[in-house]
Amino acid sequence: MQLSGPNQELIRTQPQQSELFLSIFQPTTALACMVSGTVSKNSITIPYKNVSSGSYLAVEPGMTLLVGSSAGGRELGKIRVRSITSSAITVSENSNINWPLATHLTVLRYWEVWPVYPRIISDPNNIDNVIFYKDYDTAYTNQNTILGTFPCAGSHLAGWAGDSFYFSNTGTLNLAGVALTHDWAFEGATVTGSTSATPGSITWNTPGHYVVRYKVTGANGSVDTTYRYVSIYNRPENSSSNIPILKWNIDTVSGGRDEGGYSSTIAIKEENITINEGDVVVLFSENWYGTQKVNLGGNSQNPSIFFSGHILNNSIRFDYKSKTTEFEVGSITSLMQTMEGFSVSVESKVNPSTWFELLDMDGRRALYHYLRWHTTVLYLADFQFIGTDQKIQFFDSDRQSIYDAVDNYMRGTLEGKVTADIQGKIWAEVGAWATPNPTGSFPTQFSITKRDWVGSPNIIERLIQPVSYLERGGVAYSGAFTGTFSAIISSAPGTAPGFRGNEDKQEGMALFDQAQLNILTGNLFANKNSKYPEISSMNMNGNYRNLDIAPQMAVAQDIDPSDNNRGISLHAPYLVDKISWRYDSKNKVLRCEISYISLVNGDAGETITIPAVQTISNNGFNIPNFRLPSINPLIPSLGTGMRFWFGQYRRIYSQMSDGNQTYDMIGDSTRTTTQGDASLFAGSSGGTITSTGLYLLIATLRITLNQTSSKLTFTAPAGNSQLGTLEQVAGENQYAGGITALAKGVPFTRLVYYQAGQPIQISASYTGGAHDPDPGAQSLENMHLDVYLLKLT
Amino acid sequence: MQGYSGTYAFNGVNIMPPSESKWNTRDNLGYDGSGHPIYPAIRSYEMSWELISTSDLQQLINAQLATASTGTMVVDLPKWGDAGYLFYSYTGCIINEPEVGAYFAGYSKDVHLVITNVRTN
Repeated sequence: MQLSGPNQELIRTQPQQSELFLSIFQPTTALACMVSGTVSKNSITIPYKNVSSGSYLAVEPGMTLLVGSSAGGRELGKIRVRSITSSAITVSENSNINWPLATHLTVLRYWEVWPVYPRIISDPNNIDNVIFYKDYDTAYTNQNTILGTFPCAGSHLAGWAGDSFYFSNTGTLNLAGVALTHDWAFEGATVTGSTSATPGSITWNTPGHYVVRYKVTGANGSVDTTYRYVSIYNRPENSSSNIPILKWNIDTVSGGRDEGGYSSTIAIKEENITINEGDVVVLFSENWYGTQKVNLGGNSQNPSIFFSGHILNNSIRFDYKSKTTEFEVGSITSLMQTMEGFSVSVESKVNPSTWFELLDMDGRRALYHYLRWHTTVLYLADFQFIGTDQKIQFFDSDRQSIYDAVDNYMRGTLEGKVTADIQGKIWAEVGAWATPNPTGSFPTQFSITKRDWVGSPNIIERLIQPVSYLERGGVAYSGAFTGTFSAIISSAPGTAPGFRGNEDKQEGMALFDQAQLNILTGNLFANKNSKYPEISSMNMNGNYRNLDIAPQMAVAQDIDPSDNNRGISLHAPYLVDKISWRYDSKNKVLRCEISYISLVNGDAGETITIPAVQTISNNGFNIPNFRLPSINPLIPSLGTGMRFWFGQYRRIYSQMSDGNQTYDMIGDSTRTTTQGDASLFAGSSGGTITSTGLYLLIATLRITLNQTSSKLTFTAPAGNSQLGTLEQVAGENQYAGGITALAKGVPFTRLVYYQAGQPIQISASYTGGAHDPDPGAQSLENMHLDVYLLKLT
Repeated sequence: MQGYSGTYAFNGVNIMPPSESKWNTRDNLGYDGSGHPIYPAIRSYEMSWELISTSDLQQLINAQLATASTGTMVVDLPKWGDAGYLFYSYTGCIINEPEVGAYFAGYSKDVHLVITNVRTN
């Protein structure tokens, strides 16, 4: 939170005094009754009778139903109420409640975080179709067209009788951009309701636990509701009843952006305390800065609230010896990390007609869809998106925790993060490093000088760059209405990497254009490699509650060489990354320790050109021309085996005359050719094809060919399809012998379809050259023909 | 609130003046980057009685029990930083449990009492 100049001085004033008070919200009962009849397992409609307190008219959707075997009992479980009539309660889909044992039902005036499950059934009218429902039976009408609103109502509250709290809907955002109407209800307050966006100060005079409801309705019919809890107490010095828990202690409240929020451990030494997992915990405070009693800091409009969170699951422990109850509290994001949601897949459309189509989707709309229809988080916390959003065509979330579903989207798509601040608001932010002009986009809100820290700052210095090459890629999608997209990749420092460090690659981002991505990669690269990446665990000499891990906040660090033992001069913006507050209840001092990370601007990265995609034609792929590689005679057996046929060399002589002569060369290993006889070799393996099929016939020839323009032609079977040709090019001949390159081990390959019973035959014919200068020297010598036959099918 | 009497009192009721009393030195919580010590805003005041009657001791004990761990008290003490010896009524003070020494002829010896959470600003 940015403080005014005078308040920035005030928050530094010494001595400081902070007193923290613990509040755990105790919900009231809306309806207490008994189960009517026997209810089977997996039931979602629970008939009831014998109402002992409350009324079904006081029950609202989303409230928590306790199920037990005695009045007020919860040992059989709890479940979310979806609706109620005068005779039955409809709850969410469940299999974990042992309904046959249930006798007592208690509906609390209390909303909490739940995952909400979808349901998919086979269409009874069309076996090839499926029907999607949200929350078991909510059919699609137009929800993904009218969208809705992120309703913001501030933090949960606690304070003293007579205190006033400020209410406004700051941060509320309607995703369709329509006008909104507002409906506030302030239970137990001097003003019970308001239709203003900013009701202002509301006062509670009577101790108790109350619910504030804010319902926002869009002009297009969307309705969104959120609830906040207000606990009011008497001051202990004025009364002994309705006072907050006093015998308690807390060590630190710590949080970080990587963790997504804050956590702490609280110990209570009072007896007869009722606490449950998920209960809302508020630490409220009174602060003095010098002689002035004032509350400063926090993002909420009510700075008396120091921390708002929930008792975490499986964390409550009781020590019978010391009669101490200890439990862990965490931000709402910590609670979200313990709950698993179903997988969700949504596509951007111009005219959505089903649950899995969403109007012209971007990040905000995708996150709203997930949180609104697959969780109840928006019932309990403000949610705000910060940064430049991008259009996306698809949003897919695996089955994972409801926190990871939103956080992974921000991380993977926008280099962002989902983090809760200390007062419980959830911020989904595009990372400062991924923002154009980071230092300009995040102006410093506070300056840290030596009067602010205790001891000496711990500056982390980086001597070797950890990242040598950073690459980011994704799709620039124009949206459902125009429907164009392009794949984009960028690298930093450029196409050539640095000389130290590892590579850092990520794809799947949602982007605007190449220029935006180039700036992003450059800034990311510079920040990941900054020389002074962190100022770690700086002990501050006050509470500095104006600083928080969210939203991202830049502070100016002014560190002179004389301020540290390494003589480093550091005057640069840094982002708040982690904070840990320690409360000294004896001295009533609240001080913090903060870790900061650097924020720098980098040079833009470079475009990586993506090769064009090959054209697809003929309803298939064009098979490019390719040559089979040279195959050595040693070929392993494949398929049904191989036939090897070996031919021996023959030497013939031929008398050439003008003009070409073509001689059929036939012969076998025993035949001696005579002059004029151009037969070389022909024969069979001595067998026939035994199995019809496709064969690969491979022949290699080694021969001395002393002739110009001569040609050897091999056919197989004899006289039929030409197997291949070995052709001598004029000028490459060598009269004195020697094997020409063409004649040395050149393989012929042919796919041949053989019928069963066909003989395996190879024949070779020789054609003499037309203009041989020395007719008497024509010869074919040392021919060595190897033939292989492989059955393929 | 300015005290009218120059005597020690709890919630306006006088108590046996201690044999000795003093303002305790505040804890030093460290030094800031400029070298200035950091102190908490609240102080504590310590009183001791070499010999105190059981009835006067009971008054101290009852004061502590009345506030126990939930309440505070208005305590009249010599004003911190005053040029003279003027008493001042400090609100929101916490009475700690008195330390009590041995009995001597029906009196208690060496009784110490600390008053904490005293805001002197």
